Amino acid sequence: MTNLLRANFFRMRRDHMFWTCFGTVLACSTGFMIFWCRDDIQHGLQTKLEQYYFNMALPLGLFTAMSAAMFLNAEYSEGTIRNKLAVGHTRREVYLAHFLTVLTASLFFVAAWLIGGCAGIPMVGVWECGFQVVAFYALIAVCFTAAFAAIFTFLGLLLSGRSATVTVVLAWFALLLGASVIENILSEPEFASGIIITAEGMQTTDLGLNPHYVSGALRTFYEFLRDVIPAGQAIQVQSMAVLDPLRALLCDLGVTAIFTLGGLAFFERKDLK
Amino acid sequence: MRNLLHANFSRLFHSGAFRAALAAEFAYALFIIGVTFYSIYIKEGGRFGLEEPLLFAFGIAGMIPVPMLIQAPFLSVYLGTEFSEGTIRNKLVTGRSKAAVYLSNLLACMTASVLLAVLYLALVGAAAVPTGLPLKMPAGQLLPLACYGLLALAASAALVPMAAMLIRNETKTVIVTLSAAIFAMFLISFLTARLGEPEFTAVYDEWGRDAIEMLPNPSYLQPVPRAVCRFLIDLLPTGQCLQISARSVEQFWRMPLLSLMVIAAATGTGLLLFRRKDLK
Repeated sequence: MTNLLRANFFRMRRDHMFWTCFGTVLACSTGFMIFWCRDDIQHGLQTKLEQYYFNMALPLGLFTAMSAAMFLNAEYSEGTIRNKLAVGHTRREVYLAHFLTVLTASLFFVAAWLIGGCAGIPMVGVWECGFQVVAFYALIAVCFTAAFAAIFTFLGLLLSGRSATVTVVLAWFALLLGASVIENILSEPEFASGIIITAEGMQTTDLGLNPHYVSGALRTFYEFLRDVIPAGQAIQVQSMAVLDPLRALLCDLGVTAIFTLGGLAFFERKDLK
Repeated sequence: MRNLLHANFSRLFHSGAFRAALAAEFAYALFIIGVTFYSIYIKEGGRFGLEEPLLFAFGIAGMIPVPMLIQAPFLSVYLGTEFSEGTIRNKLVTGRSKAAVYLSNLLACMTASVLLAVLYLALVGAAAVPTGLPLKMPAGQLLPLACYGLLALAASAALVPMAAMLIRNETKTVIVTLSAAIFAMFLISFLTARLGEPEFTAVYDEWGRDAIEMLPNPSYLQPVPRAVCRFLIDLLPTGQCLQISARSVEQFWRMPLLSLMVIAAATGTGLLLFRRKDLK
């Protein structure tokens, strides 16, 4: 296992896609933070660092997907996996080593995002919400990144070839779409007021129940589903509004465990030709 | 050139990637037909025009550029096979010029992209017309809009051979083109949101009923950045497709010109790179 990990990390260090993704996350995090803070300062607005610090949480999954798709595809197309099995490593070790490599790569992207975001400190000062709050959201980001890594390793290793590459990147997009739809459903207000434009100006009518508001068990189900989808947690971290942190962390743990155990079981039976 | 085109189209129609793209486009058309029927017969009673499901051939309501997400991986795989299996070397050995090989690939990609959209239009048209949904946009406006959309799709397809020349690795090309389509979608949505910022924001009284003062919105884009944003949205094929799908095109005349510019620039760059490429 140690040898497998060492070989994977050695390859990762020389992987152009990994460094491109790492550089892009770092550059975007730094660039956008400077742009947003400067924009607010120029317009004389009060800005807090945390207002923009978590904005990069959402696209992190895409970079993990791109890096994982490239890394795992090369493993199949160049016959490396067969070589690893031929020298006596078990399939379980090979799968776990790949998962840990993808996870490490994605944690590098999280680090790049967190470091790049600090570019705003000289302009607007440190986080007003306190370091503990930042560390808490960073922990959730690390956990949902692990869940993403588990899903992408599962898809990348079980679907070999070009279809795996496309599926891994589209899987991130599908998860993001699903999470956005759930977020839209949940963000409907409970009460809605009508606005009437009259000759005397704009007037609001009395508050009434919003028919689109989801309540009761269905709301709990949607909230649970939002936590299960890693992209749903990314949306919550981005807006610094994680509803139930413990449930979010447990969901990440559950998703990571299910996809890793499922992947191990399927990979044992996969025909590697 | 004719033989090259014949060979390319023959390979296209036999390729698994093209069949997968056809299946994806078919599934997308069925989804839109399903949503249209649901809206007409179950929910709203069809308060929208026939042009709406038809123009979704270029994206969903100005938000998701579905055709780009289908064609980017498919064309990358199609062109990647050409490079990885030595087909290009064989074509050159038989005496074809590099320019002819590149242009035949480009034409095959552009045709495939347009064919996918035409398949969608035929399917949705055949399903939606019998429902009696009225055309709320004049046909004289809908037809050029659809043609501009097809041209924008062709422009988007023209970028793939150029990307394949630049990247030179099939898997990387798939990842980069697909990610670029997703990135372009986010960029267009960001730029559109910036353009939609109002010039003034209202300050309401303490009951929140009447506006007492209008303040200038600091996020409102000044003329120069506004023109740059507008130009970027019009220049990117994804931006054009999303505008057409949302029926929010402002400058009709500019879109086909910009599409042709994109095709010319991508073809010129791709040809230049391909001439210098070492095919080993």
